[in-house]
Amino acid sequence: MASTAAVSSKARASSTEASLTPTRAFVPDPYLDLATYAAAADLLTLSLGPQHPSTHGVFRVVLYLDGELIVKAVPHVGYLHRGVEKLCEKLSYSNVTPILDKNDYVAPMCNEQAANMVFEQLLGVEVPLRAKFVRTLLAELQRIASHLLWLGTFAMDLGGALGGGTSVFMYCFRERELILDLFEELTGCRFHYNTHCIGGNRHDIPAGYPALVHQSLDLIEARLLEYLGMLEHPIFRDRTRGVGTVDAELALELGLTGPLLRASGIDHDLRRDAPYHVYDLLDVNVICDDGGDCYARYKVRLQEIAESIRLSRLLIDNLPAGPICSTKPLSGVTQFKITSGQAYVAIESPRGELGTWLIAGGKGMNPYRMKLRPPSLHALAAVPYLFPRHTLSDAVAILGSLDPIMGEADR
Amino acid sequence: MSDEPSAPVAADGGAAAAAAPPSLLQGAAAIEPGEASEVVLARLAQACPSALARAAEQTSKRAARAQALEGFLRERFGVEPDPSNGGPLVPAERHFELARALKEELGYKLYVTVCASHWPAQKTKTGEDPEHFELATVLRTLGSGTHQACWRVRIAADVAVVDSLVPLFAGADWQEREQFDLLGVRFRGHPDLRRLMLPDEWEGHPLRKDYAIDTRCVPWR
Amino acid sequence: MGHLIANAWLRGLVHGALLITVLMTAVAWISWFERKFAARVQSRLGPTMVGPAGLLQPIADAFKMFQKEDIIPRGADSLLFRLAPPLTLFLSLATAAVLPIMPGMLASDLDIGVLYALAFSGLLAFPIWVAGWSSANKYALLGGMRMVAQGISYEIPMVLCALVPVVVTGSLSLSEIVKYQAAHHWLVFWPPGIGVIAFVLFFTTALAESNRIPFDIPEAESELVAGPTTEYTAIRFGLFASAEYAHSVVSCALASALFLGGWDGPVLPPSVWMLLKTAALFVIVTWVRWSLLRLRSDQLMALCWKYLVPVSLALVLGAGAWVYVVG
Repeated sequence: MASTAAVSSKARASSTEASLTPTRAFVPDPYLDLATYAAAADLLTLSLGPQHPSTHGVFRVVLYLDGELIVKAVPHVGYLHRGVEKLCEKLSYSNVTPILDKNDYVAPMCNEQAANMVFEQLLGVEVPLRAKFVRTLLAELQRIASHLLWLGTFAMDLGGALGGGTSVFMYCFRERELILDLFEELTGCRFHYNTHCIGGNRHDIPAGYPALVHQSLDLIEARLLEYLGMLEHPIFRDRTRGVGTVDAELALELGLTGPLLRASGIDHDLRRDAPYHVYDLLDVNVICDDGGDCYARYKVRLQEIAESIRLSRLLIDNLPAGPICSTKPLSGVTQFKITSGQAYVAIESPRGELGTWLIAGGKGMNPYRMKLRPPSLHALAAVPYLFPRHTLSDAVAILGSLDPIMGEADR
Repeated sequence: MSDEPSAPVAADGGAAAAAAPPSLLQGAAAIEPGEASEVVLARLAQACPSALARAAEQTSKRAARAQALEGFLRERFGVEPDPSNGGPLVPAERHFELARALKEELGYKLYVTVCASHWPAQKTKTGEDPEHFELATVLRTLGSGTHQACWRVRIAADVAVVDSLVPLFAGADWQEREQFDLLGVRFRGHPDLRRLMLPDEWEGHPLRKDYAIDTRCVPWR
Repeated sequence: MGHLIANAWLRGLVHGALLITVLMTAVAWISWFERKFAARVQSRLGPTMVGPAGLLQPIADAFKMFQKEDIIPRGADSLLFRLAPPLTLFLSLATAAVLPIMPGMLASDLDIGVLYALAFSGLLAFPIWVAGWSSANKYALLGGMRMVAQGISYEIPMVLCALVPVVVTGSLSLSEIVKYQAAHHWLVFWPPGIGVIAFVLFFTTALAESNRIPFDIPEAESELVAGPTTEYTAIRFGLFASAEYAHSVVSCALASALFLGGWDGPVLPPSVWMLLKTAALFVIVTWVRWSLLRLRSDQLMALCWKYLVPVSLALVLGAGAWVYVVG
């Protein structure tokens, strides 16, 4: 594998500025010229995806295999590209939210919040305290649901659809269902809520809701132990430890955020470091791990579930009275008008920094340009760096641990 | 192994079903009243004693960073901050230089995002504003008091070329490919400038303002 | 030692037909059992719609399998592609010929019964490799390659562990081994210590041979879609599936004959004991399958060559020493 270890890629050498000396010992070269690879004649080209059991949707990666060892991985995204950004340019500000629900379909609450927060900033609309509490609560519940889904699919990647992995998957979905029930109780929808609007929320907490939340959270907390029982054994550790290691520097360059960044040992969480909603009132514990491998990501996410449960309890116990929305109920699609200005606002979604760069302009009825910053796309960009030197089985595990949501990556 | 074929929809073991019966709140039109905000805030402050102080620390740190960045931009690049537009407009030829300085000198190490936008020619009060692109870049410092550095560069439409940040940030690869794909801005020094989202044979760049939504492109449309 | 039917040819024919009928029927409801078991493990219900408690589900499945379109890929080697599924089933069932169900009832009382059973079980890698090769599919090819590597590797500790009863009883005939156990000790307890380890290892390697999780890397559907069977449809796929079940059952029966005394047991008739022991082992197999994750192929090989082979070698030596010293 000598030639894959060649550090300086052509890209780095031929940059316009003086070449930056690499600071890391080893970087798998995503631009590797296969003709220079010693065993080029024996390489097997395997197109993994877009229809494949473990690509989490429609992700395709072309693998060049030397035996079972991956020499080079060339990812292809865009199979789920729906032109959401273009669509947003044609929609009024209040109509953007339901479209963004379909972006990260595993954590739609966070999408809604990210978009509405940037609208509110440019409009100068203040969100009432109760709505902020509700938003924080929804974000934390959504984080639990999203991480649970991740855990289930990750176990299925490791253990197969016809084995122990599915058992974990079923358990996780059973608990995720509780969260979806809570959301359904609140908004009437299980997936695409459309509950956030400019200036607050549409749906207020119904009477008796806190008791329901407590009930569900207690159940989930108790059952977290079941996942540990199913997963904490030598096979799982062998499959995940030292697999797909991302060092901190590479993680930063790639723009990995959220659990991926924290699992690489960087103590960074927008909830604590740039508090929005009511996170400035909460002592968010940021969970980090130095491993950088799949096991570290698993540990970080599992502990984040516990942390989110704690925060959710705190929030639902301390619900302030007051209005849920500071703007009038929507009377027409042209109610909100922003004629100029640009802003970037980011929140910490379950997958990392979910940001929106909004350019207002034109007649002011709809966004002039809206760029979403999907954490999943940045995570997938790590694939060419992570796959080489691993086997096909590990590739599946690594892809699973990155937690990509294609709806969000492709938009 | 005894089960009732007549009840295939029964949930597992009864536990999950009993925990959150979906009908519990049905018909409850009333909303949860909540408590006065002062009470709530006081109680939260007691529960999370360090939270407010920590938040204040973040704010002050961020303000200090923002000030340092403003000073730096004024001194080295001669540009004034422009908060209402996200960030200052920097000359395009100094784009790479600025990114590098921010990464290596000021600690903006996390590559966040890049956003290109297309501005067709339009008449303004001061005269004709020719067609151009704007490229906004966001970098971020890490950890406590994280601060995002945003700046924009203006790119003439007839050239539509700007320096690539790939030599600095590996993650810029796909982001710049996406901007190239959707808007047609080219990046000088990018190792692999192909379309990212759309098929390689696609004609045109959909996020340009002059791209008609109903442009035909066989066989996808 | 009279057999129920004196003529060897006739005996083979009758018992063989009986065995195949019983086994294939059993396989159908074993698949029902596994689905029910898995459903209960995963807090689901499993099949409920066809017949009481879904008991007729296997029949519906079989009908479905026959109805489905039979597709042979254009690039496939047609002859080998057709040959592989029946060959797999044949090899799985052929192993059962030497299984002593009860005293005087077995299809063929070979003097080298253990060798025969292990040889046929080891040959199973061959038709699966053929399936993988002839499918003209890269996933199938990779799966076939994994199958060969795994089959050949796990063959060795399996044979070595099976040698422990052979060394202790001094016979290669399965019926003799069972008779020895009925007369003396079950070999799982004898020689003390060595027997238990040999049994566990044999059972583990038998799991690996029959491609059950955690050793199902040839199938590995999260990586290789469905491994060697990726391109198979309809009843050809059904043959593979039933061959896998049949092989698992036969492996369990083999393990109980070699180590758990076969038909030996109090009160109940011998054939019931044999069935009970096999069923108990199969429950364990199922339980393991629906609880564990899958190993990686290189970890699988490391487990075999670094741990299982040396330990089983030591077991054979230990058994030999035991026989030499104790008698």
